[in-house]
Amino acid sequence: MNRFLAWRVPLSYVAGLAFMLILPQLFTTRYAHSVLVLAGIFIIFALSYDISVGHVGTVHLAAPAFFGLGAYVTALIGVPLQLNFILNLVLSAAVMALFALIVGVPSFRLSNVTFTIGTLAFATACLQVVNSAVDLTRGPMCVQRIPRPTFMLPFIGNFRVVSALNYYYLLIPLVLLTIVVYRAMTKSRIGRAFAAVRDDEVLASASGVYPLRYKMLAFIVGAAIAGALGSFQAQYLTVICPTELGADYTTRLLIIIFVGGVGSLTGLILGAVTFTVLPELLRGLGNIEIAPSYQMIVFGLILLLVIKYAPGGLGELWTKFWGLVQRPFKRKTPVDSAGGES
Amino acid sequence: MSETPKASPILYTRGITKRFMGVTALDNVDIEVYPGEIVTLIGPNGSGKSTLFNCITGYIKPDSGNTYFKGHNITNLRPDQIVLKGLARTFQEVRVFSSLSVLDNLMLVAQQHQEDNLFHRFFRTPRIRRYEAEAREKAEELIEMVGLTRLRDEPSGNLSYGQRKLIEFISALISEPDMIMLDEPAAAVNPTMIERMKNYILTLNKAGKTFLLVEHNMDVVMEISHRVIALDIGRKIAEGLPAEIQQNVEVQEAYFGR
Repeated sequence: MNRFLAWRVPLSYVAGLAFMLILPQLFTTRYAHSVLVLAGIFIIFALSYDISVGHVGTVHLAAPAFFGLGAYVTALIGVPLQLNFILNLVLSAAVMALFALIVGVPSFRLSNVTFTIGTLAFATACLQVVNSAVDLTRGPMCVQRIPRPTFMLPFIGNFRVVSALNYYYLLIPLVLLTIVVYRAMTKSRIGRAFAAVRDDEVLASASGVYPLRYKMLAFIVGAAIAGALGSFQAQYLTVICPTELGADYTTRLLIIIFVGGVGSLTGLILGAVTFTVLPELLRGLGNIEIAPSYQMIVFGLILLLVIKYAPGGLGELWTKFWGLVQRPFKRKTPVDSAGGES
Repeated sequence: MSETPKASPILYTRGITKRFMGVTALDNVDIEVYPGEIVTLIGPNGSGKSTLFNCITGYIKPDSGNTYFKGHNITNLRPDQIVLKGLARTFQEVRVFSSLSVLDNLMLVAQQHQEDNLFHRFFRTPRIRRYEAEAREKAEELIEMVGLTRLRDEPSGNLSYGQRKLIEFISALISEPDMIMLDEPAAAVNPTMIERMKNYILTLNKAGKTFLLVEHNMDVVMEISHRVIALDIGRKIAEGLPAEIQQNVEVQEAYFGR
């Protein structure tokens, strides 16, 4: 294999990291920083969701439930226990993984479409419970005053994460960790088994793959990541409302995944960034204020164009572009393709 | 049946019965397959051959009766557990993982038979790399055997019907099963391919593999089978050497009527 290609993955990590570190220096307003945090959140969210949807092929609609409940776990359990930032993430992830296990066992007995609707029912039920259990969650009055994360740093002492920029730097390692987990889950042996279950469950069984095991694995890992992300959200906004469990997230995630490119890491990142930054750009394009309802028209247009001209999503366009750039360096085709990393 | 080996059967069923909404698809079927044999199931459409295949491999749970493989009762195991016990199968309608490359199709199967450990997998320890290399080596060997090396990295969905059939066949072989069940290996492929399939089966059989086939192509059945079992409307109506079955009146009636 070509040396350039062998180093491609670590190089792209370094380049990506450098890019992420430099970004807030290019866009220095607090507003820009909060948009960056939002983009980071959606990258993690989209990746966690795509393990199920893109790789195992089980479309579930419970992602916002795991995200929102993860936030409430921090607000209602983590805060009274005075857990620190990382323990809060771990607690939310663990509780949501357990939750996914309990929800997954009966849900996966349903077949495709029924399964999707079943998970939607679960998400809706969660939203209703959080909205109605006023004694516990304060319902629509929201849980407020969630403490911001504090870290003991050498030389500086106690450091309290306050500004959007602080949160952005706190989010970077989480984004990287999610990418590492995503890649580990969707490459080589597990990735092949995921693709097998997605392509043909009957044949997967005949190949020694137990489809339910891999569907559950993807569902649970996705739920754990979404839960931890919810915990971050709670400690970022310091206020958590039932709307965090809303179906708006599902719509947005589905758009990101399908425009970005199902099962493609690059595509998902591009999709997540596009659909968090674009609405902000559209909000004040020059001096023309574009009303939010017109934004949806632009979204719709983009969705149509992508489906018409790049059915594989932005990820596919990116791969084609790199294929052209790399052609002079290539001697042989690399053969480490698995689930669909591109 | 002078040719029946004395050893105990590698696979046998006892009293397999399956009804679909009142229609009896299988009625008290007992079959035996001995190690090293090539046994073929024949019978007109709807006689229960595929249902029997699916009962043996765990895709359909019989209403009553049991299947034993290498001395173990496998009736209540899942398909993936049965294949890991060394009983591989193919499907009548050719199945491959169409988004995976030819190589990945085979490596996937090979890897299911390797030891599994989440820790090693996640951190890609040297052991995992060695396993991956072993799986790749085996896969490449088989791909070369059927002459598809050139298409190794092609998504298998892009391949022709015959090529996919070969991939499905070598996917069944890569786990080095003790016994292989082929559902119509000679169906819908050209005469050259039929010759090749026949040769692969005979060669592998000489190397000690046991086969249970469902096949409609009578030339193939007569040529390669050691023993033939005939089914009709869910019952076993005859069993014996290919030549005996050819002469059997009941079998002829099942196919052509009285």
